Amino acid sequence: MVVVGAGVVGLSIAYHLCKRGLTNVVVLDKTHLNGGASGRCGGGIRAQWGTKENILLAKESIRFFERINTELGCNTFFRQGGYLFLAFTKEQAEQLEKNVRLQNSLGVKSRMLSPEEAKEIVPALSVERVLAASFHDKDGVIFPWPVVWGFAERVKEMGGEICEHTRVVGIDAPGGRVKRVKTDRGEIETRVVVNVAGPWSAEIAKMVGVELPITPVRHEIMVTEPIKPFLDPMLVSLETGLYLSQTMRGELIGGVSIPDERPGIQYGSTLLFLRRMARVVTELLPQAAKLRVLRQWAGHYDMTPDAKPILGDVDGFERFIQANGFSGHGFMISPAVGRLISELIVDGKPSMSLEPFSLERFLVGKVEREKVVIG
Amino acid sequence: MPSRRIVCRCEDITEEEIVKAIKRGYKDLETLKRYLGVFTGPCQGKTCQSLVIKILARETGRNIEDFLPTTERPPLKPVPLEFLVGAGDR
Repeated sequence: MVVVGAGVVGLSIAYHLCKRGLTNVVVLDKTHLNGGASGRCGGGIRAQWGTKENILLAKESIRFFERINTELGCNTFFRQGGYLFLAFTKEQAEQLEKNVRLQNSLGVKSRMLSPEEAKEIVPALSVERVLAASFHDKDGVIFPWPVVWGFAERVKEMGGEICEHTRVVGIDAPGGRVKRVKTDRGEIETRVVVNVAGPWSAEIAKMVGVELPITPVRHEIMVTEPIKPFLDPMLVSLETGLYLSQTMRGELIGGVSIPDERPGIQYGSTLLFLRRMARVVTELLPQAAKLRVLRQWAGHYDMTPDAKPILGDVDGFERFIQANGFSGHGFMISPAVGRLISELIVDGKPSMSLEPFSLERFLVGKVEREKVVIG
Repeated sequence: MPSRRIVCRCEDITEEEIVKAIKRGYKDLETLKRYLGVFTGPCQGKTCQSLVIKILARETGRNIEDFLPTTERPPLKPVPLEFLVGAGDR
């Protein structure tokens, strides 16, 4: 079978397939590993979501990340300092309360905190305008690069193949049956194709006439020089869409919402982003004012209309499987998604229904939007 | 002979580690950067990138010109957050 896209989700799918004994897996990528969103993301891992499906996928994935270093034989710097969500208006506080109730009902032990309790967790935090906060101590941050290498090395070890710098140029699927994948380096006969091409997934689907409602949106991110540990949790502001965490190497890494960002694939950096980031960070953490920015870069969220991924088979096709549209949270749910898609391929039926993630949900118009997309 | 000489001074990465990574198949600059963390410290590769290119060329038997440098990103040198608040307003 062919997996299109060697990002963390594609590699997790390949890894879980190989583990089930299906080692005739080829993962294709048009550039190099860690070159796309997986290698550009902030590494946040959280179960504090606003819809049942995301909470369940994230909860299972956190358990995987807790054992990832031994399972993949790599050092991922996974650190569970929790996620601290900050609300600044009554409406935002109510959203947090609603989320926490839903999370608690699904076994996620998140809780509401007063501004004073939030300050106890991050003493450097300016809480004057904070109305309420929520916290979950099992959330955390991970260094994305070694996760991708870890998955890739284990896939190769088990007999899977990863072809970098190999671009898919066409897919033959007469009558909805996948026959072969054409690349700029030759053709591969296969009956299964998994489309995990992130912001390029719509382009891949179009090759067989399938329309995916995916819009790539650039998200910028920056890193500061390393300093001694002072920020334990990942900080999230519902007011500005800020997320900020301190890595185990001591750097601060984070991004902020740019509401007027135009859709499309572009990797450029803007001063607008740095300015907004500097304003928001120094307002919340006045002590960080003298901290120096080392670098800014950008990647893409592959947004769907309800900010939830598209997973599973597509009507009218046999084994043209989608795993895309992750809308900025593919990395953190990649372990669970890898397992479910591998079950769909190996057993014909995954252990958790993929119906809420079907492409067809957009046709019947029955969607519940995920509201807690940050960045 | 690869030595324990420090090549990347920001992240304490030695020549020996770089040679080991190249032998494991990490054979271009973008990949080495993401595997080892070279070029990701305060100097952003301004000190070590040319040294890593030299080692890569030697170990792979290719020419120095074959290795394109990694993407340069702003800021050109580390800038404090307080200077960026309102930057460009004047």
